[in-house]
Amino acid sequence: MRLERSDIESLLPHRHPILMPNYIDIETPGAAGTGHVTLAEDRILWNDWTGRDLTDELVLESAAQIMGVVLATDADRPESREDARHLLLGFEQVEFNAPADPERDIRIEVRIEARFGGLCRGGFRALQGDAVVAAGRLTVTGA
Amino acid sequence: MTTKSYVVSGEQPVFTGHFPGNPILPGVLLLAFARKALTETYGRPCRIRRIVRQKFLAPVLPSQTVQVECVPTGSDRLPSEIGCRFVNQDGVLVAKADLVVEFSS
Repeated sequence: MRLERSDIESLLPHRHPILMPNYIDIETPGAAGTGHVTLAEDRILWNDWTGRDLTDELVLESAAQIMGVVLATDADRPESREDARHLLLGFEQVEFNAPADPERDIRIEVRIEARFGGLCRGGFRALQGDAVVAAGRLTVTGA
Repeated sequence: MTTKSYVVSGEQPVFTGHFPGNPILPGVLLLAFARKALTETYGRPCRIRRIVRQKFLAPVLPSQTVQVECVPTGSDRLPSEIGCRFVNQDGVLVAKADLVVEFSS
């Protein structure tokens, strides 16, 4: 199932200039999906910082947003769709490899690993071509 | 120790999208603040290579000030392991992070 930008906007509160995924392919609703992001899209975020200046930070933000959308597609947990404001709680064991090229598409795979209480932990891997530019874990609320 | 303060102006473009009518500083920008603080302190561009762990503990809102405190764990001239604390103007710890960084020439 492919979610286009308008579908994503119906699930996330984020908007330009920090709505990151162009589209997301949901492989397993509520459990796994792959988002596609272009960091160099016209966006100024902070003073003169653009997507080209914040590549690593925006890869993390993108992973969190994709995880929120994956969680919102869980048919067994409709409350997750109704309130997809999954608050980002943190990151763990994130490795950044060679810097991402902000002009090229980045593919970010997200897998839900565990749910506990109202929290959810997932893993992500960001790739350009076959090269992994970053990978790690993140935790959000609202699982 | 590196200590820098950043005023979070509500006029920053990011707040139009994060979130409309409910502006909150994206937590990932705190990492950018830490990177900027370390770059300015050591005079070389800093890049984060690893986030051992980072926890966001409280939202940062427009008009707040965030103080970034970065403490190297070693005594190298250019440190690689850094502990960061992010504190608002009321002394509330809003985030903390253990990072591995590198400086380019």
